[in-house]
Amino acid sequence: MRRRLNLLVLAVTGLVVVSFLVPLGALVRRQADQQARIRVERDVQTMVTLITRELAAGRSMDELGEAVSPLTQDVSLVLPDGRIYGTVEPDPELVEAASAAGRAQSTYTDRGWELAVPVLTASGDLVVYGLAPRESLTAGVARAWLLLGALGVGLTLVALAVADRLGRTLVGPSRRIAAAAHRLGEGDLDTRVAVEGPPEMTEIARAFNRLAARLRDLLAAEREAVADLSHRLRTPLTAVRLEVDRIPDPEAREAVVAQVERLGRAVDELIREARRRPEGRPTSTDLAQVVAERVAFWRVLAEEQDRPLTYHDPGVSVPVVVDRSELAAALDVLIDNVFTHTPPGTGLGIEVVADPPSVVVTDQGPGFPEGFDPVRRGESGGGSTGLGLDIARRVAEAGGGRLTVESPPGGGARVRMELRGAG
Amino acid sequence: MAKVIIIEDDVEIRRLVAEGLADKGYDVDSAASAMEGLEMLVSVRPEVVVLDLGLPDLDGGELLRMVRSISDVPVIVATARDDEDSVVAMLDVGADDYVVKPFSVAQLEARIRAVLRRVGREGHRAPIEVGGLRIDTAAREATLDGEPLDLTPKEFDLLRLLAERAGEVVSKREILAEVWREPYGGSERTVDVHLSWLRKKLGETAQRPRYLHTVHGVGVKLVAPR
Repeated sequence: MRRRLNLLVLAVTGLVVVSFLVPLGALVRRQADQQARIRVERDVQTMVTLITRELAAGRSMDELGEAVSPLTQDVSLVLPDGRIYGTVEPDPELVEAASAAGRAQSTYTDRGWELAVPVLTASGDLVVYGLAPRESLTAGVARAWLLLGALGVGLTLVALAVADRLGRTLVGPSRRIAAAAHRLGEGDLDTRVAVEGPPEMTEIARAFNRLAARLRDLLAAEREAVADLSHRLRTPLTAVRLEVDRIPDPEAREAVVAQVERLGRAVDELIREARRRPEGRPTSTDLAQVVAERVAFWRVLAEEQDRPLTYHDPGVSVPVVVDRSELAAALDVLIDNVFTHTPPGTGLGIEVVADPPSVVVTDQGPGFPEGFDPVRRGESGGGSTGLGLDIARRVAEAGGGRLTVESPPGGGARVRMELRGAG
Repeated sequence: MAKVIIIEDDVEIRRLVAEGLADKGYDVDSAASAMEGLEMLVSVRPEVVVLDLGLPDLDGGELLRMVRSISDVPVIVATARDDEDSVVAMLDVGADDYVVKPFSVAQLEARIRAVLRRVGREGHRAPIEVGGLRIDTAAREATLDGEPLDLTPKEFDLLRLLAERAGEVVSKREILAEVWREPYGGSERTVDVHLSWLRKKLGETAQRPRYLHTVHGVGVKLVAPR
């Protein structure tokens, strides 16, 4: 946009400058020409007047030639007998023509502008010849043109500078608004832009700020609603749970309690999901740091159960897009699984890989049962709580990653949680 | 039996809890709002208060603070928020215990019995002492041989539960239900790893136990070392 503005201004200024400077240049040239001619005409005229006066005073032609010759510059006197007094060489043709015509003749030639004026006397025609040399006709024109050109370039540059500055006041705010919009898109809901620049831009900035504030308010309201959701759902569920206790038949009561508990789990799940969504800024968590923390947490139990626990740290931070507490919960599930499904003394290894960002949990236990599918909810090998790897899978996939399980040829099990890298 | 007041805005829950506890022999009064509850607290002088945190007229935490400013009565909070931060926040402003919705009368009664046991008949919460262990339930602080123990909230609750029932084997399921309030399960490994940490902080090992003894296949018990 700024470049286009500058081009536009360059075109307009250029046109204006050319349309003024070209006629001005022509005028300067004509002026110089005219001045040179006027000077020659004046000198010639002076000479003619002088000659007329001297002749009237009875001077001879020879005396006349001697008298005027030091006075001449660019002017010559041609006597009837063909003798010439003066510093410039007259043009014989023009002298002849003037003499023949009996009146002044002028012409442009290669030498410059020439003028021949005849003075008629009884003893023949005298001719006064003047020359405005070619260079005098254009004297000062080059300098004047150079000056005009410089002026034109200068004016154009000034116009460009002003336009550029103007462009910046237009482009600057729009760039800032674009940057803020990107930040907003990335979830920074507190981002605002300065209200400045031309009126249209300030209007856009104001509208943007209103939009960002509205988004923040809406998300805050949604968070509020989610917090309220647990209350709204769990309170009636409590009434049901309490009412169930009053069912006299123990068998029927147990059956209903089981259903209420199932409903309770579903509600828990729903609330967890709802809490996950309205998070504004996607959090960047250091995978290596969280894994190190969880390993430290579980190491105590590993030592107690004589399980060799190895942890391989990548040595650098591994930023991933996932909520920190959810990542910790998912890692707990992965490690918990090893403790639950392998006998004490079984070793486990945990490794964090920087690229692609992932954590690998391996153990030397019996491995996964045939046809084990971690994607299916509630299935996690032998007799555990039911949610198992499903939580880890959900966390991985929520961040744009995935969870894979395999039984390596050497035996044992390997679970690999890949996450989306941040930044 | 003990005098209980229930502060709960939901009419059904109020009725069911009141009837359920009355059936078990408690002397129950109930209030539908925070203000009514505060008045009742002064007029009835209950031994236990069951407080719903989602009252319409006042924030539960605010009410808890007001209760604490006028009375030392044990308060059990009924909450719909089960995340650890909310629970710890409630305990910090003076709740003695909590139940997470949905709960049964039996669960609530277990909490009532626990706080009554803790508080004692004299009306103030006596610290629990087992050997060199001293657990101040009101201040949520524990010491071993006079040295303060640096415990997480869960570790403290675990230690308190075991100390309250010192000498008794407590199953991991029971611990999950009591400390983690996992009404639908949870992993026993969670208990194991917290027990390991507790042992470490108590300066003992599973192989050479002093206070914490694992009874394989049954659970864990806390006893004073001989």
